[in-house]
Amino acid sequence: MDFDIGHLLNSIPLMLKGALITFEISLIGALLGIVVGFILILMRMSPLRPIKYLAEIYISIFRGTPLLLQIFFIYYALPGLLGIDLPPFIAGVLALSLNSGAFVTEVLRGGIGAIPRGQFEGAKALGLKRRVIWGRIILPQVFIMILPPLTNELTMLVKASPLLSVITVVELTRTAQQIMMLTYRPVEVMLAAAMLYFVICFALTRLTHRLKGRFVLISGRQ
Amino acid sequence: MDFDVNIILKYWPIIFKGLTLTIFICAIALPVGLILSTGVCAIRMSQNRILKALSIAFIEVIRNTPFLIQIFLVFYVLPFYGIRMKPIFAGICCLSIYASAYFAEIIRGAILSVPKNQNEAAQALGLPAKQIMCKVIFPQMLGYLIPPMTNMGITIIKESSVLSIITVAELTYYSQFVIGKAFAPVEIFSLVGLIYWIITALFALGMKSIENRYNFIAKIEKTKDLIPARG
Repeated sequence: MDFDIGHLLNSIPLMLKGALITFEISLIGALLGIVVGFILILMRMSPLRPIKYLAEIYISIFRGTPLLLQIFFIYYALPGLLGIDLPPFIAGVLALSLNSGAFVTEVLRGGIGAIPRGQFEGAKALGLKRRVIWGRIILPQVFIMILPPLTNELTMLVKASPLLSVITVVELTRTAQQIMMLTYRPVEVMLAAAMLYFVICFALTRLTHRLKGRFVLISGRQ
Repeated sequence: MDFDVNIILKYWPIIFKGLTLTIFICAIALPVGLILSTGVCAIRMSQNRILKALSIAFIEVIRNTPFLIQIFLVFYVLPFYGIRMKPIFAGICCLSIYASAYFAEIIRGAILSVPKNQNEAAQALGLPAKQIMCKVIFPQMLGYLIPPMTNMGITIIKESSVLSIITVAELTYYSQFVIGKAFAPVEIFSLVGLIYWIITALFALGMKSIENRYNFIAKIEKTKDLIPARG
């Protein structure tokens, strides 16, 4: 079979649309993942043992089982359990966020752990309120520190999002498959999809590196 | 909705069949990936510019594209160039190659984590390159090597579930097969999730015991206290 560059170029506009949806899914997943991660870290720091264990169990489950299985569970099993029907897009994004949260919480924990104790003590000595200590002093520093691992998490989500094609979310991979069904030119279409993924992920990886470099410049910490 | 244990008991043999294949796939892909990665890493750190550029390109392409797309490329595209593979073979190949790119970077990171002066001191003592690597660098890099290797190994085990999409009859594939028959997604997915969780936990446990045995860094840190501080 000859490699036909025309087919590759023809498929690009549709694929770009798919790529945009892939990026959208990943971004929403990452943002909600940060929220989930934040809730988990709060649960972990709670003085109540059961809440703490609940968070640990959640993290262990979501880190120890395949994402594909989690997607299946949320899409096929959850409606039966809760009695609500989830459309593929919502189910997919939900699975990505819940999964991402379990990883982001470790990042957050590392970030908070890296803040010198003196910052807490100094803020307390100044008589600042708890809300101010966290909102104005600790979290802004944590956020700058964890920006590189968070962009890395976004890259991970972009790489994980093709799994949503299995529950018929029409993102880049699903678009590629649909074009493949129509034209039966898997070589060009799959290569185009692979290239688009590569461009997105490579750009994000570079961004992560830059942010890391900037962070070292700002804080002097590695 | 009730949780029906009978369904699990009834379909356990089928699930077990999937489980054995998942373990088989991982038991091949992980060691093969590790062996390949040492080669990739050696080339990545070599002096030859062309080979070095090639290995960097390989690592970056594998690390920056989704695993599912890699499988599709091997499974749908290669047949057009006369390379036909059974799904299971294609799957194991993909998983090994995927693992090798990540492992290679982990090994490189571990080698670079060993302080430079260790290498310089060994060279100054006139040790041959092979001995420097095996007797000086390698024992010290294990502390940096095993924890990320454990994480990546777990990722590979979880990633093996993706092979179900190209009809490799492993655990996830059979879970869907059984659900198609019994229509009990909650029971079956919970069971299969539990199985994966146990596999990854056992893997982590095994790696931890290896780490404890060979963690020279920790041992060196301990002996540091025995050496009196100067000044």
